[in-house]
Amino acid sequence: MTTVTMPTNDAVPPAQVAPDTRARGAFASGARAMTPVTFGYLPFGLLLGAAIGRSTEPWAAWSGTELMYGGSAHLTLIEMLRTGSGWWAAVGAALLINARLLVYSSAFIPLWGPARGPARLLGAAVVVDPTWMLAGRRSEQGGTLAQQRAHFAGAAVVLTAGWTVAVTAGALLGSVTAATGALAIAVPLCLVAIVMPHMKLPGGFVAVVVAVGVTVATASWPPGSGMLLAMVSAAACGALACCGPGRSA
Amino acid sequence: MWCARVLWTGSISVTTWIAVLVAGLGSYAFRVAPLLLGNRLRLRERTQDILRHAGMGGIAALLVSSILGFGSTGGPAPSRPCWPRWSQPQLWPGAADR
Repeated sequence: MTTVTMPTNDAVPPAQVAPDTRARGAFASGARAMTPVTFGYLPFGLLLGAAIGRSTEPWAAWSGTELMYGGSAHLTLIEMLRTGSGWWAAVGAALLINARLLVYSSAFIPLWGPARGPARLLGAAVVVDPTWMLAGRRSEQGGTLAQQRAHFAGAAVVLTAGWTVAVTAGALLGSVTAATGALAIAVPLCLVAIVMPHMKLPGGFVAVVVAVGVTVATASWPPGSGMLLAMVSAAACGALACCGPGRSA
Repeated sequence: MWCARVLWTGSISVTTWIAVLVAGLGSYAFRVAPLLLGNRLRLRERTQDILRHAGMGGIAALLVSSILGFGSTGGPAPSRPCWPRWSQPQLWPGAADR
């Protein structure tokens, strides 16, 4: 398994270019790099917004756009609440989905660990799959920590703006039946795009297949319990398949 | 029973606010803990695998639910809803008819 790590050493910058200019350039570069990724997430954001628009408490559900900052966990929470799960089960499922952020954030220790307290707190708020992915790519290109942080900030600003706009638009369009119908087709495709890369990882295929099987088998169980069991089963079976007895990680 | 569960868990609007806040705070804790604790929080490779598989298992479960329709998964639809059917929100078109 490959783990993305950020470089800890600051490369020596060219003397001719002012630091501010380099930081601005890195910020713009991050924003440019995130733009196509954000467009890719738009259908998912619109569908999440549609779910928010049809929830019993749209403002509360919408507030999760920034508070949770993760579409799959947010959608899971809203749908589990809507189908009558207890709030504790919905929160548990959402937190289990977002537990992967612990792994992503660990990869940011070299980048954000030495930063000042407020910068660290702000940087942590936008750690999510796309920012983690772009930061990993950027770290391979080298450069100073300041440049890498500026690149991360530019990417995060574009993603946050695009995501918030998409979710809000989806919430406003949620009452339009035709739009909801199109989005209902789009969301499984978005989720497939998220799941597919994971299936290439050691144990990933087993984890996904087990989760699918458990979800289907527990369809008649009380709301939310099937999803929680699917996640626990996927974690256990994926870990066993990946690095169980007699296997190497 | 379903109505009783809604009543037992409290007002739906309050429940949604609480759920979003707790999930938001928990998610932020996952994000910020490694940056604040630094090298004191070193996740073993196996732990990282388990967390990744759990998260992806949840997304796969969400995918299956979205295909089957949320109205029919995660438990049977209530046979005797405690509020009119027209007032119940529905994300997936036709989900209530399945």
